[in-house]
Amino acid sequence: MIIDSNNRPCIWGIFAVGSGRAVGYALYAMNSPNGPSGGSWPGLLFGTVAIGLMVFAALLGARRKYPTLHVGRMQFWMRGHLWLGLLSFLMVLFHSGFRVNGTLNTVLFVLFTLVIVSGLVGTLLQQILPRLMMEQIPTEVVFDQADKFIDQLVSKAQQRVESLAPKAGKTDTEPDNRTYEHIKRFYTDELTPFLRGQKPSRLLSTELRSDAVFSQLRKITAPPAHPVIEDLRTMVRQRRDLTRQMRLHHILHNWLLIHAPLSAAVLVLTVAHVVMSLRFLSGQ
Amino acid sequence: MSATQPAVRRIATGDVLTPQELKEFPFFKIVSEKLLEKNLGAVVRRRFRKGEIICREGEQGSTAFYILNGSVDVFLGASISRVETRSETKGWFRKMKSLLVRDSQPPPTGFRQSIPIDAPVDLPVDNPVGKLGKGDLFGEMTCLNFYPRSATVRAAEDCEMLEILRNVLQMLQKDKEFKAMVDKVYRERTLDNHLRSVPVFRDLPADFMAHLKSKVQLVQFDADQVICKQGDPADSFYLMRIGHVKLSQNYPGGDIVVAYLSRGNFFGEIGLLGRGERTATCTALDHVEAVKIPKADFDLMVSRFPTIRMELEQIAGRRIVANQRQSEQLKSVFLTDFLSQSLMQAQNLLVLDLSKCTRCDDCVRACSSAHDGISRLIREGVKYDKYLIATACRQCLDPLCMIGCPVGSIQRLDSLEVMIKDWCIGCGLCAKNCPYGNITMHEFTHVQVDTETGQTKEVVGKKATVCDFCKEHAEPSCVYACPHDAAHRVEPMKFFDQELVGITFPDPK
Repeated sequence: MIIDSNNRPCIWGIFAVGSGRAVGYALYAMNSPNGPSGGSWPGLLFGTVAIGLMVFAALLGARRKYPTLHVGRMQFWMRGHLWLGLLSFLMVLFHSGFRVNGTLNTVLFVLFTLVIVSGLVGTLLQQILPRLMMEQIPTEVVFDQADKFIDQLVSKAQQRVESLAPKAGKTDTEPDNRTYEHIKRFYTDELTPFLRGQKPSRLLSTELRSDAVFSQLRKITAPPAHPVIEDLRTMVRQRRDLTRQMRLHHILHNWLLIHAPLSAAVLVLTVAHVVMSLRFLSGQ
Repeated sequence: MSATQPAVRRIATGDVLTPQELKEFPFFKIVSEKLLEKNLGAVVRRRFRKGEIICREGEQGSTAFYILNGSVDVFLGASISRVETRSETKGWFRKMKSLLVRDSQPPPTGFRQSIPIDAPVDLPVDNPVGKLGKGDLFGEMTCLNFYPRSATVRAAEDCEMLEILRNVLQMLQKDKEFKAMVDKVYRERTLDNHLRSVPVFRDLPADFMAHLKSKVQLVQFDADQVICKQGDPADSFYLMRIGHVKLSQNYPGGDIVVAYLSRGNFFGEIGLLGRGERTATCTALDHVEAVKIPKADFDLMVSRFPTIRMELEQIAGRRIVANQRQSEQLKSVFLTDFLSQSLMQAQNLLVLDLSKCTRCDDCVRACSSAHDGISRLIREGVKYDKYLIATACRQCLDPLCMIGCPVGSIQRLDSLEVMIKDWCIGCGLCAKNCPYGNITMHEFTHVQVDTETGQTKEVVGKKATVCDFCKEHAEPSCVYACPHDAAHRVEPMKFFDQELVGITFPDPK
């Protein structure tokens, strides 16, 4: 989600609520002879609010599974996820009194911090990468269709190369034969593995080298083959764009592979933390 | 359209008629024996037993049938209903589902009450069944224009007919005797119903109908033939029988398509009721046949029947307003790039702001979730500045999808909104014709009566669907489900004017 002027009310709201809570926390901390703790009533209040906010933030995942449910626009949920999730971290800090005791609490705090950090990284990536993809990749392919697109490129390349095969019955085919052999060898040894992504090609993976290769190919082949070479060059460019797109796509989405499981772990550990704390409190 | 069809030279089944046998039919008399010899196998005699299906709706074909003996039933087997997305439950947790629904209300005044098919009869919407008999010709649209069969035809009794290929039918249509014979049958049996199928003419008294029957001309036009030109004197009124006509208006930047008309539609009334000048150029898109009412008879009709005049004036008024709205939309086009991407043809676009879109596909999933797993949008398309114009119905100003619908079920309302009426037979021609791939064929099971056993059975049918903007809700599901504020349904001119140039044009309304 892009953080633009539409988010201003959320930012001010969170700032106001956060500031109010911070003042509350400061007063509470100053008036607690033993220092703030999670087991005190204000500490429990901060903890309860933090859990509420965390649960709301976590519900975004469920909400996205049912996109047509009319329980508020997805944007509302996304903004809530981002800003209330951030606020929950502040509440956790106030709840804990900026101290962490015990293994469970330490693990929980570390994981929660990682969740917040990974979420912020994701948000940061969303500010940059969509625009970068838009600017750097002129012909984006639907991500799920990438394999199909590669198949199409390979078959199109093959068709173009085979169109150069010398025709039967034609006399004086030696120049045609040589051209076809050169291009066919290039197609088999370099182009197909590159298009299929089977091996990193030293020759075709950068624009500069690729241009040099194609210009060399033009020099050693007959002029009628040059339009075919130009087409192959375009295909190589498209494949390079696809590689770049996939790389950016992975970066744009794969942070979720850290964020989502950690969030689930935090929720489970939070339940354990609540149960253990309540048992501890009831035992006192 | 015809170019995509394989050339069929012989009909595979039936008794091939020799030139001598064909010559026994009066209408083959003037055709030379050599020509008939050349086209051996292009006309066959076929016999059907009672209950036998002669052709099915939606099937591809290339022949027409001329009934020699017996009679046939013509009907639509497709469920008379359309796909609508509705909520299954009320309240917050409303879940959407696509259902086959049917209009419970009769069509409003001025709208079609009957289904136009490729035969000399129209079928009533509430009970789409008709009958044809000796001397009737059906399947002309399929034969001449290669459109899918528009209805299912079943032998009502043992019958005999000639099955004819295009080349021979074209030859016959040039034959005055054959033409006169078919026209005579049409005038006697069908013209009355055809005229009455147009809501405006439904209350014409019998005596005037008889007068019209003798006065009207049955005219035909070849593909691309101009029927009348904008600015020409308005000398007649046309009621479409067969084929499709394009209405276009000339503007400094080029021609703008105002409408596509098919069987049951009419044109020419604006000029006749107004300044006496044609306001649009009418061009045949394929083989077109029409009923032509000369100006004198039209004037007599509107002077004798003021209600008809009033209704026609109302329709003409609505058409003029729609044309003006369309031309207003096009006048604000100023970007050549915009033109080159055909976006000027769109009235409404689904645009994705690529600087915000994380390519999460939540929009596609939402669309799919709202329509039983069949998405009506693809996150792919042309790019314009930072926007991706997604593949979803654009409500084109030039709705090419409407050309060729064998039953005229895809229509454009006066609001310029394209919609698919209940009697879609699921042939898929509109989906093929849409240049942007924005029409989806949606499979449904529905209950049908078996024509042979009379028992009900579940059959899988198809219905064409376009983006319905999830009308039941405040906004389309794709837009509602976008977490990044990247998806928007916009009026292109207004949106791009404001977004790219920062100009806000006053709302013409």
